[in-house]
Amino acid sequence: MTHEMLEMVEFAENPEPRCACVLLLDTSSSMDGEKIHALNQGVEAFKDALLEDSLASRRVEVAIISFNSKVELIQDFVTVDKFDPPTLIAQGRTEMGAAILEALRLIKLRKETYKRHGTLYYRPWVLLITDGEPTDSIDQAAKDVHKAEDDKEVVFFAVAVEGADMEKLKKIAPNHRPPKRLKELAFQELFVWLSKSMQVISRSAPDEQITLPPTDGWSVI
Amino acid sequence: MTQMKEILAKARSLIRLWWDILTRRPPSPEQKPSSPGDEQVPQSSLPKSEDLVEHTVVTILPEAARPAPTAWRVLGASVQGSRHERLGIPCQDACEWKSTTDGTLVIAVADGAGSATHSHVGAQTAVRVVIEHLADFDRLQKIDSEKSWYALATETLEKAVGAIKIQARSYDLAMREFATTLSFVVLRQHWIAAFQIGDGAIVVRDSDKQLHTLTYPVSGEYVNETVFVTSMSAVDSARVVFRESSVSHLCIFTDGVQMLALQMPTASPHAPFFESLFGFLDSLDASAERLESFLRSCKVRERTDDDITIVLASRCGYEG
Repeated sequence: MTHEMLEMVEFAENPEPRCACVLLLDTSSSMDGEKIHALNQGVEAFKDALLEDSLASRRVEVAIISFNSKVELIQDFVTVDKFDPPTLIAQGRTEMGAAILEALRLIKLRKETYKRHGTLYYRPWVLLITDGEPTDSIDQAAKDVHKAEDDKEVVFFAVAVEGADMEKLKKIAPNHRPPKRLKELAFQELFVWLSKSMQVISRSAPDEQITLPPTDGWSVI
Repeated sequence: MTQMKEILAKARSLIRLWWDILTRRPPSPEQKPSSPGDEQVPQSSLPKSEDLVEHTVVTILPEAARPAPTAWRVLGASVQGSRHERLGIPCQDACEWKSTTDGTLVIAVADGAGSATHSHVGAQTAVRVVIEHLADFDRLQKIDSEKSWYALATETLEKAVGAIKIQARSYDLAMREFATTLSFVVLRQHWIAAFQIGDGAIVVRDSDKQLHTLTYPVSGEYVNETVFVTSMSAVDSARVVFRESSVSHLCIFTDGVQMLALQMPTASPHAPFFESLFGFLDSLDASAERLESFLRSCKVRERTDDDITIVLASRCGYEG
């Protein structure tokens, strides 16, 4: 009850349409060291970049799911102006399949919340960042991602950090949007790009063809 | 003073004579100038030419011996959104209105698609055609139900789409480059009728002073999706309204204003927003320039960077 009431206040206080973005972050042991440090800085940069845009910071909602030996929702959906980036710690395996399914489920739930409150919304994004090989099955996840993309339920991006299993990622990512390789540790650039993309989307008018900013700042061609 | 009255009475009898000649009616005894209070001519027997009505009633006899046709105060403005300003894209909204001397007001508003290169041409064409087609005494005279309105409204839409098709051909471009939403409304003495494709909305204040959302946005699942006149599903998804009511105020607007104006999910009007706009319209300092500067103000711009169009109308002589 309290949760519902808080939710009601949240949408009454901020009636802007929402642009949901789930960060699906690999925090397995292979990410330890420089990588996880750079990832943490990247998420901070994402917040900082969006905060400069008053409209986007009230429209873009971030959620973070981390996955290692377990899948954990470490940040439920929150608008950027209220987002406090966590410090991620790397350890354990890479339960990627389960994490993807959780992200899709979370988005479905969020859309129901939007509908309940009469809040308008944009097509949600999932950004998967991984450097490893999944330790669980990705078959169901791949199938569900393809279906969700076909039904225009979600926009799915996969980013491979050095060491990632590109073959499996290609299977998961939709054919029209193959996974991209991260240039060294260009997390900062990746997240600035993500914030710019969110800015473009969160103010797109009906039926506008969205041109995303170029990815060459962070991706290997 | 008595002299004045005599002159007026003479003028009236002369007009009556012209009227009868023009409308080819024998002068009837109860319409003699000696009983000026009885000059209630039923609407259906009015001459069809708007000019004639203007000369007989409005210009010469302002104190109106027959029921005064409703006059409307109308203000409207379209302003370019800050995003389009930055990108050098023209304002893709368009609006037009026309009031005829028989007391009819027709307003049309269109919001060109952001993704289409010539949507501003599509929007302008659509509103022009709607006004041309609907500000027509004969056509409106036949409207008495939602069914007859639907027939006229879809016919009007066809005309608009036809005109856009011709434009597209002359530019040698696909129809979708001219995609636009379209909503229009007809206000008469005793009824109001609206038709809408795509987003935007119409809010009215009835004579009972209550605010009502007459039409509300037609959109897809996501906020950046909508329906256009050029869409296959245009007619099926259209909002059609016909109501026998005498509204005192009306506001028609494009989706740029939606966030400020409507409370979702019920699409109920945000009362303070409309009360202040209608109050402004009825005030002495109401002007299109002032409306425009309101639409350009930081407070509005903070909530949207889309093109914005608002047209406001109020019935003159309405005792607010």
